[in-house]
Order: sequence, then structure tokens, then C-alpha cells
Amino acid sequence: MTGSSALRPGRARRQAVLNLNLGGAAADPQLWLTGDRPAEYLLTGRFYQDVARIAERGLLNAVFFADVPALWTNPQRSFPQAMEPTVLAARVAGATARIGIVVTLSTTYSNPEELARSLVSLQQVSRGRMGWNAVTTAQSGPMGNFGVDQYPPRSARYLHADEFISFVQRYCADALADLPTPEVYQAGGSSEGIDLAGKHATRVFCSVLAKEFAKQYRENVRHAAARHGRNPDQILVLPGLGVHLGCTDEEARQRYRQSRTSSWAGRLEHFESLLDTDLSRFDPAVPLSEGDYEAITASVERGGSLGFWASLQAAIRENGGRLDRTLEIVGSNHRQVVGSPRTVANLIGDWLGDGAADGFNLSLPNLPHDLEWFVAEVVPLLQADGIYESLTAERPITDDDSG
Amino acid sequence: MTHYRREDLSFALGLTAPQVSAAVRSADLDEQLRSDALDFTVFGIDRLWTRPAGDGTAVDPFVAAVAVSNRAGPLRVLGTGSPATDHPYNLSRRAASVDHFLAGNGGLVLAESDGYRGVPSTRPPPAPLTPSLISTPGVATTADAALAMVRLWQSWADDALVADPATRSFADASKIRRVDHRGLFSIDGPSTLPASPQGTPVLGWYVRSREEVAAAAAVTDLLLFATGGRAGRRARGLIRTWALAPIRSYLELRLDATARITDHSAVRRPAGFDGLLLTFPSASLTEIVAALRTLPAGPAGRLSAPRTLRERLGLPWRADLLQDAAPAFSATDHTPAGPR
Repeated sequence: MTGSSALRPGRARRQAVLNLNLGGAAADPQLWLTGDRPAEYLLTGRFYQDVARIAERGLLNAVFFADVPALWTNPQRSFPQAMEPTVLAARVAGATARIGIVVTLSTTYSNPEELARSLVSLQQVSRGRMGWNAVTTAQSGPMGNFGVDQYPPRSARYLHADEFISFVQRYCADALADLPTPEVYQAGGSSEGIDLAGKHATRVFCSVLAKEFAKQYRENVRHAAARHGRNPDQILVLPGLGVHLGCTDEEARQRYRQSRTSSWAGRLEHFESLLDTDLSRFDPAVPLSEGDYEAITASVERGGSLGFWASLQAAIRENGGRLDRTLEIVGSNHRQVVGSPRTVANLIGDWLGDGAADGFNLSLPNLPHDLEWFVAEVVPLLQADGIYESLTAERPITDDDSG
Repeated sequence: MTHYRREDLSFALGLTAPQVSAAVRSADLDEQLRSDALDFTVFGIDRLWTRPAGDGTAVDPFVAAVAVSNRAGPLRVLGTGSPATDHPYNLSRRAASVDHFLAGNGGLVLAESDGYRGVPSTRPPPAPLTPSLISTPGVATTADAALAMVRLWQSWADDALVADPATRSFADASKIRRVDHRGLFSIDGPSTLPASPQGTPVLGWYVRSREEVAAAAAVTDLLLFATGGRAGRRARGLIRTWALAPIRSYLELRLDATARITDHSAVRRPAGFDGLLLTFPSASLTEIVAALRTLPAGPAGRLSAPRTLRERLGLPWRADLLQDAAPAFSATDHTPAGPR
């Protein structure tokens, strides 16, 4: 689609597309602190199979596996993102029949042929349910595992990613005569990442912490699609959303406070790793100056996630420039909603209605329990609100998926 | 006419890509794959040959191994790969993940070069952005990758995984070690995965030359000798010279589609080998099933069934290569908690 119609503000989709982000799910200490789930429950993949089955029952669009090819956080308290995503996806495919499975695989640290072959095999095993979250891997953690002394510049990474994705799509199209090629997700928030999404992606997973920022981001993605001659409606923007449920809003807040076992310093360090930038030199209680913002931006440009910094910067400004207040509210690298099922459903509907999102990539604590809760109480509210189909049209499944 | 006594000889099976694809789609071979008559099955054996089998279909052996085990239950499966076309960090992680899923019955067979390279696409892929993702095929490259992978698999000490609710400790971070492998590959580590139920996945090498045997015997658990390779003769002497620990050796025997294994004149214990790796380059699954049905049952008289592949093969727990390595995390490192 070309011309002005493609550039009109996107009409919010009435049907929410909800994915479940399982990348860091096993990192929730509650998963093993209860003592009734031994480590084998995680290591044999049964945890992921159980959760994916529940998500499938709740008509979620896909389970999503984030990944970084490095042990970049200390597993002293929690299970890391350990399993290699393609074999984990094969494990989940065998336990499910309809739900999509999205794997994060790096264009910087993967051989294109190897990656394409894995995706083709997974698409055959899952009978057409695969998605590929194509990332250039901004974190510095994997560099030492691959003998990289100097990180490739952002422009080189994205230029290479463009060629890489094009090759993989052609490879898959040639090899998959009777199945669709895997859907391409893009997770970058930088201008290069948005342009790449506009060219190749059908889904965009992003970190947007504030609604106004999200609306602008979604429009940028849609404009990028139009620039590449595509229909903007072909790309769905799915921000990350942490969901913390309670029977009431107050109970949810209490549960959220109790479940937050990480220290303030730990959360700061998490952001530092995403931004690849030292934030400890700033007084968290003193508003950042314009010079501080510029200094952080310059640092992030050398290797951190520019997209996340843009989103975090908007959130810091909304909180008077103070890091301490922002960290308290943000909690992780995604927007959090803390409340009753009604409150959660309202937020989803609000963002959809205002054109800030086409759906969400959900994270929930205390899996699989809280996912059961979401499916039992939030999904029916979304359906009653008319923003979540009983059978989703967006589900990337084949017609003969009765198995 | 039977030329061998079962207790003297072990069998393993190698499946080509078309056969692996068929095994993913059909349960016809499941019974044989679970059978005690086979020590293990190599998925993607033609990746180790100079040319892939059949119509050039290439599959991911690790994805296929998980897919078949989802249906058939935990199997004893080795995937295949080459450091010429994939980085040891990626290969080690895939093999270790499958090994956990198979409860310590998985592993990996390496070869100098990758028979699947360029298959089936006729379009050249873009050059990798990270140079170490593609390496010059050779003995030195394979040996260095093998050593790096063993170190990665050992980077979590056997007792590093604690998962103790009382102390709120999931892992003892002091027992997660840096790898700091500095050879042809440079790998800091550690692995993302705890130690396998069998310590480290079983690591094999498909060898053709004496030079390969010498290099492989020093670092791997398993030697698979190519049919017609020059390394077969005097293999026992070579292994005895170079091996640092007990290893197992299998000689590849390529059979035609209608083979009755017990009648085959080559099926006897070859000098210097522990067993035969049976491959059927052009056979269908049905034909392989028929051939394997002529195999007698596995060794009798075991007091208990082996729990892991390493136990079944009588391979020792590997010596710790990282005893003196530095911890990967300091005591003051923080861990972001909760879902992200």
C-alpha cells in the first residue's frame, strides 16, 4: 500500500493479540522457592510445556522466548535464560497443537544457514506455528563467548541483519513448499530497528513504558512499513507488559511489593546492562539534567539498547527526572500493570483503543499459577469487552491444526 | 549364518537427513530407537559424510531429536555438527539443552567439515558478521572446538545447582566458573546451563584419518570410524596411545536396504572396535526397521538399567578441566529478579 492512506494514524485493532513472554519466566524465584517443583521441572522442559498448554487454552497467540547467548546474570537466586531456544521450541511444539512459538535468534551470533535450517525444521515439527524474533543482540555479554573484541557498529549490525533476514526468508520459502514461512518479529527500538521492522516484520515486540510514547512508536513503525511499500496494518506492535494480578487492586499492590525480591541496586544494575552504561554516578534522588541525558545517550549509542533508552528516558522525564522514582514504578524493562483482573483488562483495552498497541507480550510472575488466573479471569473480561476473540484470527496456525 | 556373539559386539545406528525427517513424521522406528539392542542413534549421520544423502534435504538434528523424543520418550541420541560452520558456543548449548531434555542421554558427534553446508539452498548466505562463526575445516579446528565445548559443559560444577528453598539459593555462584578458552576459538563462558545428569554430554568425532584419531582420542568420549577411512587399521593402538581416559570406538558399516544384519559377512567384531555403527544410505524407514529386527536383544545380565548414555557406554565421568578456574561471578553481583 502506498500513498497518504497508508500514513493515516493507525486504527486500533479491536482484537488484542496476546503473547506470553517465557524468556525470563523461569527467572522468577517463586518458581522454585515453593519447593514443590524441583530443578528438573525446568531443565527437562516440562515447565515450559505446562505453561504453553495453559496459554493455548487461554487462546493466546504465541509463547515467546527471549534469549541472549550468554550467562549474563548471576543465577544465585534464579534460573537463567538457559535453554537454547530452537530445541526449547521443539520441546514446546510437541506439547501443543495450536499456539504459536516465537524464538529469539541473533543475526550477529548465528550462522545464517544454521539458523534457517533450524527454522525450517521447527516449522515442519510445529506444522507452521513458528515465529522468529530477529535481533542483532545489543548486549555486550555474548561478545566474549564469540571472540569479539570490538562490537560492530549499529549501522553495520542492521545492514547485516537486513541481508540475513532476506536470506533466511528465501531459504524458508524454498524449503517449505506446503507451509508458510515463519513470521518475523523485530524487537529493536532504535531508528535502524524500526526501519528493519518496517521492511521485514509482521510483529514488533518493544519496550514502551508510557502510553504517549507507545502511540508515537507505533506510528513510527507503521510509517516505516509504508516507506517499504507495505500495508501498515500488516505489522502489529506488541509492547511488553508485566501483569501482577490480585483479587482487588490493593491486594495486587501488596503481592507486587512482596514479590519484588530484587534490591534497588539490583534493578539499577539490570538497566545498566541493558544500556551498557554506568548509571551509578548519578544521584538517584536528584533530577537528571539535560547534560546528563545527553551523556547517557552518547554512552548508549556505543553499544546499549537505544530503543530501551528512548522509552526509559520518557518514563524518567514523566517522573521528574528522578531515577529512584522511575525504578520504583518501572520495575523491569517493560510497563507493569498491578491490579485486579478488571484493572488489567481495562489497561489492555485502553491502549488498544488509543492506538498505542495492537496487543501485548505478557510477562506474569508465579507461573503457571498466575497464567491460570489470567486465563480464568482476565480473558473472559476481554472477550466480554469485545476486544479478544474466542478464536483469534491472528493465530499463526494452519487449517488442519486439530491435532 | 551368524558371525558374531552378541555379548561381544555393540550396535549403534546412523540416520540420514531424509530418514530423520521420516522419523519425525512417523512412529515406525520408535520401537527400535528405544530398543536396548542399539547403544545410541546418530541423527544426521550424512552431515558427517562428504555429501548428504537423498535429495539434499537437510534437517536440524537437534530439533528432530527433541521432536522424536517428545513422542517416543527419552531416547539415546547424538546430534551432529561441525565447528567449520557453527560456533562451539552455539553447538555446545544446543547439545547440552537436548541432553537435559533426554535426562542425560544425549550428545554430539563432530566432523571436520559440514556435509550440509550449502544444502539445499543454491543462494549463497551473507558472510557472518562475527568471523568465528565460520572456520577453516581441519583437525586443529575440530580439536579446539571439542576442548572448548567440554570446558563449557563443565563451567557449572556438578554441585553448582542447589535449588534450596531453605537458603533461597538456586545456584552456588562460586561454583560457576569462567572458561577462558584461548585457542583457535576464544570463549569466555560460562555456559547458560547447569551440568548434565551425566556430567557432560557424550562427545564423539567422526574420523577418517590417523591424524584425526590422535586428536580425537585426547578429547572425546567416542570415535566413529568412517567406512573406508584410512584410520581403521591399527585403531586400537592409536587409541591406546592417545586416549587420556577410556573411550568407545565404532566402525561404520554401510548396508543396503535389504540387509539382514545377522547374515552380513562384515558383522563380526572388528579388531580394535567396540561396536558397529550401522548406516543405510538409501533405505526407507520400513527397510531399516526390518533390518534392525534381525538384531538380537542387548546385553543381558545387567543388575540395573543404565540411567544415562555415559553409564550405558561404560564411559567415566570426565575429569574436571576447570578445577583452578576463576568464578564467573563475584559474591556481590546482583541478580535482577522476577519476570522480565
